[in-house]
Amino acid sequence: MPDLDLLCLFVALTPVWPVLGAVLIALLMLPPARPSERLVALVGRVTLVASLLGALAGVALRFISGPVDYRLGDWYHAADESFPLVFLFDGLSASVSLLTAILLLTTANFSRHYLHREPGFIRFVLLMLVFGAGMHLLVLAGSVELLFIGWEFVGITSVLLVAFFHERAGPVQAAIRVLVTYRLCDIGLLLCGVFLHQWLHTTVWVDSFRGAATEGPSISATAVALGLVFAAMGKSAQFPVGGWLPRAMEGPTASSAVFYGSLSVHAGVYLLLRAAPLIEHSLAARVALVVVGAVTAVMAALSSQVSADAKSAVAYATASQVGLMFVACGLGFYTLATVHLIAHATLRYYQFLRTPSALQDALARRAALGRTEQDEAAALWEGVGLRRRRFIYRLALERFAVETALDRWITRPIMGLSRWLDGLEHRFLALHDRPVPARPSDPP
Amino acid sequence: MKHTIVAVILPLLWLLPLLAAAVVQGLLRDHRQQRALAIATSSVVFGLAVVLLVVNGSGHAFARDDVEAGPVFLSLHYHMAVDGLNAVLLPMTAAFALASLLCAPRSDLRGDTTARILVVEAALLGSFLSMDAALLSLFWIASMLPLWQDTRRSGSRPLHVLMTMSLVATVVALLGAIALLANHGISLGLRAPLDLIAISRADVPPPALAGWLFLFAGLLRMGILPLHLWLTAAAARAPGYSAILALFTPLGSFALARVVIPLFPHVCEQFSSPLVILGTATALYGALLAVGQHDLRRVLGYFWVSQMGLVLAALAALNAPSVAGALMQAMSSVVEVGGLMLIALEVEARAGTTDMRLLGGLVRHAPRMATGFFLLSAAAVGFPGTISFVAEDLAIQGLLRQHPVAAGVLLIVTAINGIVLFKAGKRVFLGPPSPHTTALRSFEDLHGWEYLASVAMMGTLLVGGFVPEPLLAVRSGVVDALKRIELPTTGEP
Repeated sequence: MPDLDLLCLFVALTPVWPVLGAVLIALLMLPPARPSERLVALVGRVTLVASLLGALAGVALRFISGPVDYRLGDWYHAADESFPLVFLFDGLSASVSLLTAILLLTTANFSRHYLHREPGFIRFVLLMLVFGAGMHLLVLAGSVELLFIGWEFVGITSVLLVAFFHERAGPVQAAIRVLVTYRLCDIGLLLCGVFLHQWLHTTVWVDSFRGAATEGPSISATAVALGLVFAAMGKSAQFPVGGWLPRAMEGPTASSAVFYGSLSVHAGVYLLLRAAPLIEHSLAARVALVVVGAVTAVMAALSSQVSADAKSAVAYATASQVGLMFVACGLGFYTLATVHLIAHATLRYYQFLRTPSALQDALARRAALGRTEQDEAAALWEGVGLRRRRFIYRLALERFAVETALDRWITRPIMGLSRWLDGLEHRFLALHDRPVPARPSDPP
Repeated sequence: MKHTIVAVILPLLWLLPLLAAAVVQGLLRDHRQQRALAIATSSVVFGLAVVLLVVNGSGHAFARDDVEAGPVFLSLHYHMAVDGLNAVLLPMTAAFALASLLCAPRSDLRGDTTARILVVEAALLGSFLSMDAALLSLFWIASMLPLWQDTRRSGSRPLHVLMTMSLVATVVALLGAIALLANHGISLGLRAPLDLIAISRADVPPPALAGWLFLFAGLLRMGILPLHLWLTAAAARAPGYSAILALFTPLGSFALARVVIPLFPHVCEQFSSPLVILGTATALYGALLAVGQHDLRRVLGYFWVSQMGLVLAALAALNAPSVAGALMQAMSSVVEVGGLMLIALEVEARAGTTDMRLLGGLVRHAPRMATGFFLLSAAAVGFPGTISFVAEDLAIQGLLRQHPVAAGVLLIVTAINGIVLFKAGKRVFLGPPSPHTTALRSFEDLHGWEYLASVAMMGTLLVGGFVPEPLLAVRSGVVDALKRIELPTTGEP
């Protein structure tokens, strides 16, 4: 059916438009004269509108023909191996792709005014377009490899936008923390690909779902599922690797909203939903999901209540809700998790955009109702004893010492080993060193 | 016609830079004239190398007969060829020499530096073209001499000792291998006993010890653990622009693919797994050491060691995708690490140091340099859309067939390397300026040729990454030829 093929191709091009926009802006930046804000914003909006049309076509395709496993061909092939361009268009990918397109277009319009005359305006639009391309690719990908490309694009743009105000030490340090967490947890996704390849000889979602159903539970299935869970934990800021999320609030509000309120932070949940037929075969992975999600939900909710700034409070609250989505995925409530994802992403997006005027909103609410959300939360704790309340407060304030433990047990030993090996090499080189004899004319 | 073009261009490629070096050293006194002649020569050589790539850059020399063979003199046989294995390396080496000459501050090009760059360029091009073991060894050793001479004057005794040891070890290993091969060839009655094609076609395989010696020299050149010390020391302390070309070449991996794998398949078969383990250990070791460094040049030195470990592991796996990935990675590493090193040298030339504790916030003064550093870093760690992504994908796919643990470790190494480079970029370019220095106010951005060289490198990596098929097609002949090694015939120890 040639028309359906054309529609599939149009949907598959959804991630391409933002990339073209980003390339065009990069080329405009090559000459010494910078392009105008108006031109850059126009390029951004046009390409994001094209992307939105692609996402709408994806929804139409879902209603016309149901799920489609679309194989466009090979990106490259060499020596018996190839990189297939495979897309999976179904209800999940269509709905999340549409959400992505709408939120990105909204962000483009919002940031036109919010970041007007900001020195990094062009950089922001360029990174947002790259992020958009990555997010669409992640959502529409029909294989682990293609999803990984989108995953990486989302990760690197996230890091660069956290360091948007790079002249200060705080944002740069925060970006490093985000990068370290992302890179380490990406290993989970890469290992998942490796295990899938070894186990089922394919990384295409549809083929691997079929293969996993035939093979049933096994050690390989558990390894694949745990790799996926680890990758999702990093991207969705779950215990114990979620310390980066409040730090990521150093970026501009518009990027906080679209990355950590709505899209990027939910990418982990999307991965779990996408790969649900693989995770279902592993009881260990499902238990891990429930435990990690529940622990995060409780810890992040408490941390949110003791946060002194609005963006951190919303960030912790986001992690808490995402934790509940993990629990839902672990228990097999995939439809609930999908609805929760879309509703939560939309709500948090709005909340993040409102945070610059949080104080004004709180005052307005207090004037109208006589109380605020914080007052209500404080009232809930009245029933708990003072000592216990103080203990929990202290724990929440210390963020449950998770980062201190990670630093002590992981970062420091690695850095210690690195310095010890470096010291060994230095000592070896010093064996060949000899002091230069001082000349009589040299000063003492 | 094609044959004539190749026959004319081949000797020009290595002779022109040598003649230019002689003129620069002996006849010209004016530094501007020296620089102009060197740049003109390198440009011509680059153009000729591109012509060779277009005309004859595919297939494998061992599978063809239209190679350029000359007379035999005292067993030394002038025999050079261009094929898929060296066709891309030729313009790349010439381009890198050109970039070094264009980007080096004019004050740094005084003295013998210009001539040294040209000599190293000629020696490397000669090595890549040689189809005779003695000729290859001669050029190989010649490519190390300028750097060795530089280290004598660098003031760092450990560096000079390491370079001397490395040079002596290379000379001994290559001379030993040549002696064994010559003895073998003469006993078989070969007209050119050191000719690589003649040896490969002989009924009796060459002695395994010669293969071991070539392998040792190759590993030393690649900076594989524990033979890496000269590479990291030179990357950190050697005088910059003249050393960069001598350091950042895939000559070691090229020698393995040109000599060791085709001529000594039994050696490769026997020690495939240990070499994969050695490569993986080197990759992990380099990444671990790079994490704790405070000097940008040292970071890049250890990162380079780590990358070479990955190349060795993939090459030693001896299957078609891993070899294709290794050859591609060896080539793209040159552009990436070489480009990063050029930026480090530009930082050193402007700020007087590459100690990251004394730097910071340079993006305010040098946004182009910072952008170039971060883009090259992303390319170096195999970010999707760059050549390294394709190379690493193929290498890992190949390794997965028989060495899944090594593949898993290399994935972790790639993640650590990403952290290493971004952290280094952050310490140099982002954040507030270091409180320990006030000399960065007049720091200048990339300009002129520096900027163009940086854009050209990024363009090469991105275009090659998005459209990798032509690059893979160039190497396909070589990979097909090496595929025969996957199941080598046994019978000879």
